[in-house]
Amino acid sequence: MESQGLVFNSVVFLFGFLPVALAVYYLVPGHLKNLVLLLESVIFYCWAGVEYLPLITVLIVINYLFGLILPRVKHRAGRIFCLVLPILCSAAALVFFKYTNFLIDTVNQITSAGLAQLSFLDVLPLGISYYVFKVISYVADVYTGKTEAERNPITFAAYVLFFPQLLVGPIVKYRDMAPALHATRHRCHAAQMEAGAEMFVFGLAKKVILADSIGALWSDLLSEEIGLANVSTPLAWLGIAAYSLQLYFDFAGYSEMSNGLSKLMGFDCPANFDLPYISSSITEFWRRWHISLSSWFRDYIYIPLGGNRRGLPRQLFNMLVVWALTGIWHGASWNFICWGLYYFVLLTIEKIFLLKYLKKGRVWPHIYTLFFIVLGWGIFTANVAGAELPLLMSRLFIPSGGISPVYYLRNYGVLLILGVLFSTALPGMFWQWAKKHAVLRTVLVGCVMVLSVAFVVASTNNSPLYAGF
Amino acid sequence: MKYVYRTRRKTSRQVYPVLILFFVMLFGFALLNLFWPKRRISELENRALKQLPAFRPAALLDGSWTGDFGEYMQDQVAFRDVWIDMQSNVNALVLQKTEQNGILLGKDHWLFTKQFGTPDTARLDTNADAVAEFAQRYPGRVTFLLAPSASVIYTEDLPLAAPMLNENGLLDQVFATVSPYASVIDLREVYGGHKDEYLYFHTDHHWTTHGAYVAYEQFCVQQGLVPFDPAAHEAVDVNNFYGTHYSSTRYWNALPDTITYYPLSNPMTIYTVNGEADFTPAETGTMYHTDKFATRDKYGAFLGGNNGYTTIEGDGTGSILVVKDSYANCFVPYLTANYAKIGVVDFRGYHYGLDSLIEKEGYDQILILYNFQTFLSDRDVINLNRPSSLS
Repeated sequence: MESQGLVFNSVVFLFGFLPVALAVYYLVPGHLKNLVLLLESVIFYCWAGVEYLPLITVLIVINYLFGLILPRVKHRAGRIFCLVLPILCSAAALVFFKYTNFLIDTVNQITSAGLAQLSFLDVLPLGISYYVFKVISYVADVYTGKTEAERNPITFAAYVLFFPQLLVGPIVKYRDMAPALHATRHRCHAAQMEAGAEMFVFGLAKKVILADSIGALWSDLLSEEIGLANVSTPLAWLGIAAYSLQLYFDFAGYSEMSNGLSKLMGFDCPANFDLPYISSSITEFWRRWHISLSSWFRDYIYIPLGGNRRGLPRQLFNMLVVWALTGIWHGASWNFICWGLYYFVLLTIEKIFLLKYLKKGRVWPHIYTLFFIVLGWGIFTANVAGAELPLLMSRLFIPSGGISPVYYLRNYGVLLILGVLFSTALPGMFWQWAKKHAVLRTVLVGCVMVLSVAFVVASTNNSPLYAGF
Repeated sequence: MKYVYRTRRKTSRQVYPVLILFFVMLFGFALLNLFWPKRRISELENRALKQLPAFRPAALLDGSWTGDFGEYMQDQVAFRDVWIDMQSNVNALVLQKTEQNGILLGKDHWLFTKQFGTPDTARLDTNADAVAEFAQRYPGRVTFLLAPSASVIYTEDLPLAAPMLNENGLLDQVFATVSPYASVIDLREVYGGHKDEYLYFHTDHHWTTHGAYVAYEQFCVQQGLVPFDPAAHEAVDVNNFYGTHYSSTRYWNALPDTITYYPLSNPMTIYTVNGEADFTPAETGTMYHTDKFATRDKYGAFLGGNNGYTTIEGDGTGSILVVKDSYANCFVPYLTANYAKIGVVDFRGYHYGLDSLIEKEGYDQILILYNFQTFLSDRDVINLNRPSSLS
């Protein structure tokens, strides 16, 4: 269960919080901008209640202090201690709040110990999976000398709590944000802000027009009235394909909104998605999907474990660790672990022999990649009631009759075509062309913004799927 | 190591039209929103809108005030109706959707309730059993009328390949359960013959006054009564009725419905229900709250809405008790031609068993009138057999 924070796709954020936050941020002088940013982020964080404010405060203080201490310790053992201790604290907080009940459940199943669940852990502290990874990357980067420690606690807290990234990431490293955080003059400039506005509007449209509308197909099939068990095999495939599109536009749209807000406030953050569904291998897919997460695992788990420098068996072991962790990061549930290991197997096969054939192919690598990605989302969503894995797999792979896909193709046809189209590079190419014409560009952004607001007003707020992770 | 953080310098004095537009819309609309008049209810959406939540520090700390405030802003946003219409138009015209908010956008301007697949029918079975059990206590006195959904009669106007539930099968099942003990009225065949007539509203979930009349004729045939003669009475048409399905969909292509009523002068008394078989008159008038015809909720004019207990003085002989959902509201006026006294019970406002009421008021006949959609999910039908708490 997730707690409902202040989601971007709500009237209260778009026309309440955001204009006030931006106006104050722009109006205060440069040396106060980080303080304002911090205060705004605290309000944003506490929107759903103040109960977890102490937790994040403690984590900020610990990581801030050890960041300061680390460069002063010369002794090797001392340095390692100062690295490991704050990481352990942060990771322990994540494990405790996210996985305790899962562990209790697992122990109960194995030993029938009958341990009671901790009900206060039913609601995951807002954004904990994201900010814990941010602070770990900070301490690790200070340790390796990739960045200087942050001396100003306000600046450091503003980085950790930075409201555009608080709910669903992306997990942006401190070193990527440090230059702008230290710019006291001309932090925001119009060209960057304009790019941010465009990015925010397009991200909002992806979330509220595409993701939420397409997602209704899959949730309809899971409803009590329909039920996967009554669905024909073609409709089951259509459903899981629609879910794949929903997941992409939901998360990519939210990430774009976040990066757009960052740009509006003077921060350039790396893209979190790069058209993942046009990949021609699973290896490529993971370079294009949730980039901030996979690069975090690469930089702070895979490479420190030795990466590919210690021979193939060791490399495979490192990959196993990374993908088991990637799986469980997505949630305290077995299906996420299976989903991570599923990718471990696929990536291993590609690494050992398949990749060179994939590089030669033209069409079939795309079909192969999409097939396994879509199937992967089936495993990914198997903890949702009504989407149990054996049921879904039997509907997908044992040809069976039932409700035909005709109604759903008719009702969602245009949306599905749009979804496929916007998963390709074509809209981006069109935008590159349209950008050159000031009038066309302005009209386009204006129309998309108006339409998106209409969808925001007409819907009850759908919180992003990825806020639960 | 020392890091030098570079500050950017302004490069040119360009204009940024997209940024200007974005800020105008963001800040401009936020300001407009602030001063936009706030509403108590939305007539179009047929519901109360969220008001500014009262401020309590505790509610702020646990996040409930901000949650309420968010809903308040969502409900009170400037041009709310325009935004919702726009979304509905994009859905229907650009995205070519055939459903909107649980309503199917059918052919020929039809708006149908979306009832898909195989819903849980435990409640339906319970309700059918309850009617059968009740009818066994009053042999020969109970009639059961279960009106089918419009989508059963006008199947060809449903969106392409809509996977509707098997209402025909369920209706067969219910009638089979009840018919050994009560006379049942199954309208499917007769409605099939009157298909080209105006039986159901297109923008609302109710049947029309005419649809109710066709059902009433069946009732008269079964009871051996001479039906109310519409030709001998003045009929009044109220135009521009946009019903509940329209409120849900805001479908651009919806055609307004027409409500017909016969302004009969038979006195109707609406009671305040104090307890089991215990009520006091609250209001006396005709069967039509005509002021309702001027509002959006036009169907609410019939019988003054759904009240717990109501009686009407008719022009016939004997008495009948109608136990019903809102479908009966435009049906009941016809009964004045046949009975001297008509009682109307709606379990939404009368939470007791019926035996004591029937005994006290001395009703000869009982008509149980529901439409399929209510009967499928209604939790109050079982009150039919609730034992009396009076001794």
